[in-house]
Amino acid sequence: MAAVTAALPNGLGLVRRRRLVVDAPEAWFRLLPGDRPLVQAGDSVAPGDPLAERSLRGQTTILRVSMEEAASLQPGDHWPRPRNGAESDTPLPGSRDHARPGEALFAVNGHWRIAVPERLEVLEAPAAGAVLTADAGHGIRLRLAGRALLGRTLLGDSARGQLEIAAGPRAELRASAIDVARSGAVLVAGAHVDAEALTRARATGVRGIVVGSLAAAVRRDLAGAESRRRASLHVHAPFGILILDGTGRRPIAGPANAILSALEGRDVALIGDPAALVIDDPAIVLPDPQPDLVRVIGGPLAGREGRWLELAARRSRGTADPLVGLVDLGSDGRARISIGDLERYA
Amino acid sequence: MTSRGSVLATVDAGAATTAAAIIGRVDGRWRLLAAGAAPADGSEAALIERLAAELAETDASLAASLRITDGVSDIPVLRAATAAPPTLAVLAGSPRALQVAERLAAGAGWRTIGSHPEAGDPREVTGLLLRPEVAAVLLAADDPPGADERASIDDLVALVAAARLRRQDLPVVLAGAMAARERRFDRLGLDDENAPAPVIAVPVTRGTDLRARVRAVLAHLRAPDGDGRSVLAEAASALAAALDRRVEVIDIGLDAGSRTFAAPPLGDEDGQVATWISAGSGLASGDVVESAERFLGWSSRWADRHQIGDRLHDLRLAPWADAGGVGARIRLVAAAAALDELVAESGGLDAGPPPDVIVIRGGGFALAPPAAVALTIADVLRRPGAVQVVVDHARLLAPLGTEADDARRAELIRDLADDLLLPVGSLLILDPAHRAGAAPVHVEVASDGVVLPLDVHAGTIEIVDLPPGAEAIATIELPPSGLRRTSRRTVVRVSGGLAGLLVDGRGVTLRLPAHGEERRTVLGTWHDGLWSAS
Repeated sequence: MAAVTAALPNGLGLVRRRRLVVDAPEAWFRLLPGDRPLVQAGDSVAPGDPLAERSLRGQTTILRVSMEEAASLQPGDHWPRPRNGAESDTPLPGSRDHARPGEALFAVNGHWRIAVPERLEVLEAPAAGAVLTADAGHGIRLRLAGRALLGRTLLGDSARGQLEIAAGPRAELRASAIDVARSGAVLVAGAHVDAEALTRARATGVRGIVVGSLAAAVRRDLAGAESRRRASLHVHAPFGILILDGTGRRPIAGPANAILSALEGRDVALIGDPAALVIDDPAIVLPDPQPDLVRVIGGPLAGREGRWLELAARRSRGTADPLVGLVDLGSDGRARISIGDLERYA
Repeated sequence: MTSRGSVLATVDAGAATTAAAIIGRVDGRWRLLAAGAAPADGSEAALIERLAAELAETDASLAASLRITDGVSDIPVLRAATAAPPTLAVLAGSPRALQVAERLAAGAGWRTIGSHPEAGDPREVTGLLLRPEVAAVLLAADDPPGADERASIDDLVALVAAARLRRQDLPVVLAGAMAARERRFDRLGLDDENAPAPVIAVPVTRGTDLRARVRAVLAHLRAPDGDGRSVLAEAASALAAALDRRVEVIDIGLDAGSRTFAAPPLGDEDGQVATWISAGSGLASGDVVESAERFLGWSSRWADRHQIGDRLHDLRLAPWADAGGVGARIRLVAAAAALDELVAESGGLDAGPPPDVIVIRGGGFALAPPAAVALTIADVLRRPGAVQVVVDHARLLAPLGTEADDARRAELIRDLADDLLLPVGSLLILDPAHRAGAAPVHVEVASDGVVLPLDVHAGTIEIVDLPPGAEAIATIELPPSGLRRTSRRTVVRVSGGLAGLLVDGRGVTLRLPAHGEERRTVLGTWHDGLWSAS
């Protein structure tokens, strides 16, 4: 049996805390067999440094090698001599050394199966950091310098650019507001954005979008477009969409919006695992949320923010009767809100 | 002054919410004193302190006698937790063998990703095994292997062994004919000394059930020390013994569901228990598109799959939010879809005598009107006869199931049975011969000297107001039908509940239009009135 430990006063500890900012985030970049890491554990990387060559497609070939060579090869090893027996020896365009790269998978009866990528694109470090692990076929883990503003999901690629506030926290970014002048930027798109605006942003060279919510249908459209892009082997500039909340239209939370406002004009990076916006300049001061600030995330008051006052009395003492908090919503007065419909940030 | 041994806290930490309760020994038996729930990842200590404060406000003398007013920081806690199902890679030599292998794995609570040589080349399958979220591998083949499997067995074993050389934290289960290839892992230098994760061979042996053995191995791999779902087996056994009735516990969580059957000891025979844990039977488990399709099959109100996809997506992100009003109805429909999946997946688990009591657990049932909950259970679990439906409203069963001492667990559940089970009502599902166009079934419900006659027409449901605690005798007179020329009379005992008694004349096989507006209309005929009345 465990024992009960100490709790926060006035019931605020019952409200779920959403962590907005983490220091020195660890970012994970997945590699597939055949992808080739270009860094090693312990390396330092700067923004834009190549981390790996990743394949859009690949195949497996069977390699017949001498017994000595077969015995020296281990799963995960790079096979640098394709002319020694691989069935196809066409050099891959885009490969950094123009030698056929291949990754040893496994051997049966002395015949090695080699994962051969068909088309490679370079994965660049979106932010400065140190390489913790770099394993072929598995992935690269970086400890990034600076801090990260956490979101829910990143669609697309990790990317880097200058942050521009293109829409207020309650607004929706329209396609007509995006032009080539925003090329290379990471745009804060407000509460919501539609598929047309995202398509235009990508076409005009925007590197990233930060948005409060995105409907599931738009997500599926984007996933389909990404699959088609990969199938066509057409290389685009990286483009990522960081979604801060879910699918229902909500304003960007006040504390997150304050941080984004403080970052306007600065270089930021978007990463997918964890889904976050990385701020690698340690000199930037990020505003802290108020300790008693709560945000309504469900029910008729969703999207409002206020000050936590106290736990209110329940009508009955059962699990079916949720715990309720008393919240000061400013000009909207005080409201009794189920604690499940609240989140805090401090 | 009462000692601290007279008070316990229970915590059931789920994926969506954490439920806590304070139980104490009052007048020589354990009683439920306070219960509540809060969003998962909130402070459990704050929740227990709040419950203690509520108890002190409600009954100061009891709180003082149990020394709860001294603080709750040192009271013992029985804690059960459920985690999101981990991912199992299932590999086999052919599509047919993969189907068999996935059936072997089903019921152990893993989310599975299957592959076979025709579906993915070695590069893709190796990439699958190296994904960090893959927590174990099941490599299976028929014994003896089928003609379509033989050619690929050596390749698959070599692929998995090589992947394990790169991920030595990856447990491997070799089932059926694959068990004979265990030595292949040794020859690649992957012995127990170098590899922390085990290679477990489960061969076919005469007189044993391979599926059950594989399922047991996988269940242990998933949760070696048990979790909030696996401990329901212990709790259900104790409950069946305490009630001396057959019990079925249905738990529909956010990302998994489970069914547990328990029968009480009979004479010299021990009680029996069987559990099925399904990662595909949660309120929002699996792919959102598939979940939305399943949802629409049980919805009378929603038809837009994009809208429902958004709601289910947000339910997964913040399952504690938006739980009232429309949110409660969405959860109940999602629970119906999940229960339907669970029943289909666990077919055969309920092959024995039907349960006398169904205990339901999970947020999908928590905030819906009791009659809607009872009808949802009746929609999916179509068994002729009478069954009582109750809710584990304070989510005590799983924490009590973690009590390691059998005698103490039995004592706790025996004492708390009345407190932990909130009666929803009884379901009376009429004879399978009862079809549209047939004569109505005459039912008389007698309770406390009052007799209520009912004529239940085919395709209809009658709800009898029978309050919690009330008992009644239902006499069913089935009209002549088919080869039976005379009417048949059956008498069953039923119990009341918040929803009363539901007499269901829809036939044991529920006949619903396949999909679309017609299906929604039929479901709405039965369900919509129950929500508007709430």
